[in-house]
Amino acid sequence: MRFILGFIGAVLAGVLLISMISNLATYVQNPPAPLASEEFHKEPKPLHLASDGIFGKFDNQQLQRGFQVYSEVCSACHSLELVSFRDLKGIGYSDAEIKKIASDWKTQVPSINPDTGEPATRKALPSDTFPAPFANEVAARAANNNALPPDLSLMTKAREGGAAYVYSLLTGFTDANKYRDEHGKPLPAEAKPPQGLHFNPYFANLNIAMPPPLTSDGQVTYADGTKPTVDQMAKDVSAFLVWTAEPNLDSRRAAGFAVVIFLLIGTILGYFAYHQVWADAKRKVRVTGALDPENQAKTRRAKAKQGVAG
Amino acid sequence: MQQKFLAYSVRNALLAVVGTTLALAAGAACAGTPAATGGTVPAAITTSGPAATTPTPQDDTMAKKQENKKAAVQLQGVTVSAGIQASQQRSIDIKRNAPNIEDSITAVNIGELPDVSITDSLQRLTGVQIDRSAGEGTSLSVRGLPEVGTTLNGLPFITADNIDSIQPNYGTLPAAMFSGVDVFKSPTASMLDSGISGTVNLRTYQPFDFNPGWSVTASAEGAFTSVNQLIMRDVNAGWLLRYAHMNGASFFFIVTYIHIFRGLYYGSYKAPRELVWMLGLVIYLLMMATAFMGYVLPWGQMSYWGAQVITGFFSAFPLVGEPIRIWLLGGYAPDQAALTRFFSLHYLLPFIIAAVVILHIWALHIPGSSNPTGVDVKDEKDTLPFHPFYTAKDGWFAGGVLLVYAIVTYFAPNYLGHPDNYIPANALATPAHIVPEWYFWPFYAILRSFTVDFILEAKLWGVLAMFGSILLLFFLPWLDRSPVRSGAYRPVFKRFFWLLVIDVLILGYVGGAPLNWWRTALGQIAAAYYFLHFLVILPLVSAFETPLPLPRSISESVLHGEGAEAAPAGSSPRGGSTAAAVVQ
Repeated sequence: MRFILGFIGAVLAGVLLISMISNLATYVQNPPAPLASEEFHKEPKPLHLASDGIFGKFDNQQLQRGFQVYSEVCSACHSLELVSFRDLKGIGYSDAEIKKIASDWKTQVPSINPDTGEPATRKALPSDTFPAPFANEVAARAANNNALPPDLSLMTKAREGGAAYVYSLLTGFTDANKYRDEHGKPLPAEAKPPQGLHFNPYFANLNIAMPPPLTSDGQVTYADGTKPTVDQMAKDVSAFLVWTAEPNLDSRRAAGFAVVIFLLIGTILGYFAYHQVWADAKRKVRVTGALDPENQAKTRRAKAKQGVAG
Repeated sequence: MQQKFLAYSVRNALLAVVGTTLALAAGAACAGTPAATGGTVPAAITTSGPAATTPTPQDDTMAKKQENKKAAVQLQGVTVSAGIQASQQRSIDIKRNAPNIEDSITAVNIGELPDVSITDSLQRLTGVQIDRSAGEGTSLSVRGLPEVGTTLNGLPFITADNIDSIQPNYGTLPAAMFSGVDVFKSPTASMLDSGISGTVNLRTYQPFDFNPGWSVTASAEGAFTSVNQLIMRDVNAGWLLRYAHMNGASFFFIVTYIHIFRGLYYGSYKAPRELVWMLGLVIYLLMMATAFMGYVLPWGQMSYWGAQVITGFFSAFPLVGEPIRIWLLGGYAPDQAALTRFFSLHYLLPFIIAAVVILHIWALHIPGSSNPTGVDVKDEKDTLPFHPFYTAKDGWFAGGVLLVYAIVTYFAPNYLGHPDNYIPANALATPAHIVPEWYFWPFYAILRSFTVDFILEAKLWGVLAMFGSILLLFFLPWLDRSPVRSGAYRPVFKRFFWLLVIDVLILGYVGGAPLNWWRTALGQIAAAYYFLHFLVILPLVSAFETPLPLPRSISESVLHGEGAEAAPAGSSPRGGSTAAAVVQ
């Protein structure tokens, strides 16, 4: 049987060798041209938020500013389907404010007319999730040049790079004709954005359907007096999207510290207990007399013979 | 602020300990823990909070506040009346649909009615009179007769089986305990028991009385939202359960891989423990199936495409492949049928794993545990009792693993996952890189390494090799024929063993990373070595290797000749083997 198995092994290795040789031959004969989307794609810019790191905590002021940017800019196209109005309590709004925000929300919640049974809409309640700006995917695509604005609830968890990616994308729109990579190389003609798309080196395939959403400083007016530059607004809304994706971040970390400290103490105690227990069994010099394992074994045997327990 | 944080931490600590234990013990707990951490309040209008005391940047004018207050009060009014209206509606429905003369009280929460005992609630029904003792309702009569039967959830509770009235003291039954009470004034054939004048059925709350929205939905439309909205946001500490469950799978695999490689090094698969090894491999296969099906349940992009790829393996087999794939999925592509059956199997398989674990331990207890020397136990001084020695040794290591597990779960819960799984499944958009979870990466690399159609299709080669890479482990006892068990006494084997560890790590890296020309080539070399190691090198090594001399007993290998040193002068030394120095 070992010969059969050895033969199987040799065959598999042989097929792998053939695969490798043919792959490498193909690679050498026609090396693949570098893709513009790999060559000109940029990694996200570094972004530092109050919630970063294991000791980070949400900055409610910033989250409220970010919420303001979402509600005045992003929410025109993007839904926030997993977040309820009542969740806003977590970023420092009071119940009364939340009720006001919900009932004043620009999109109403679909409902049924209680008298006729026909489709109708009603004002949102704090228990509702944020109503989507479009009734369905078809409506969203029809209004957006056949592109579907993704839901933003989990955006910072759903993209490589998280909040830094969102921030970089929002501030990364540039003119494709003037764009140069770090070697000063211009964009090849075939990689330039077609009609209706916009160039953004932070987007995976460089051309994104979303037009630049934050275009000028002062696009929103912050109530707390922070200067609403494009950079600031992008940072704030990225911070807000970290919160929408992970609203329990603060309590998760707080619980984490308690658990880690508890387990650390337990493990250290367990480690010392292990050494204590094994000290005799691992002792370097063999003891004589009553502690000699041989004598202990004799004692155990004698006890067992007499039927004495322990 | 500080104080609040402290109080919070203490409560969270308790909760987290409960959570960690739960996740480890059961792994699949679905119910919410009773305490709340930053949990959101389920019903929206439980607190009206018109005072708006929290300082906010928004400048509320007095008028605005007044308006909010009014709105709050109005809303509250509506909710309460809706609750009672609904409960009255239900009572009317019960009455209307009943074949006999029946009356009923239901309430979303009977405790909300201004009643102390259940008789107070019952006296609202026509034909029911109550007796009072010191103003409190104690028993009741129906149509003037006290011979009333009482059932609890339809089963006999206390029945007037003689002419006297025997009734429970209703004064001891708090109204808040019951979800509803039915009064039957005429019996039907389906009733188990009844009194002369009538029967009272007390209905308590049942475990499944919760709102339907509070359970996991295994439907293609609802799964993603029910995981990412209900469990992660609305269920108290649901985020903890989910993250602990999801990372628990990874840590289960980490300890399993340590266990498997230790078995490979110390030759634990050799006689007389072949059965232990094979049952272990069965557990490993079941774990892989369970983990894969669990990963599909949130129905994100990676879930969906992972299911697509993995069930697609079967379609590589000629003739029968495609029908098998369709049969497994219950359709042409992963959809509702696949999701529902994966949900059931993800729940069922852990019980089968537990059963095979019992067999694994049973099979182990026939020959007994192996040891790092691979030498059989000769007499009692070679052994130590399991407790306290091995409980202490395993105890602190388990603590260490839990510590790393807790750090990942609380501080980087998504580190081992993939961002694409937070995008809802979309059958029309394929992710740029489909990768399985990290514990499948070595096998995924083997699958992808076959790129040329040589006699058979490349896909079929890949699938056969991938299944073969696990199945060959079942043949290990016959592939490695060396009579020496432990790798510690096999100098050539030991080198190849570490080469295998590096090889599997390389395969893991290649399986997880996006493909390019050099990664493909590296993966092909590593995959070829994997098969050559087990099927060619291992039999040859076991045939030609000269192992080091073994110690005469386990105790001798542990005591490095110190026995001779400690022995009185002139007595014969108790040991003195040259091999002893090699161990540990």
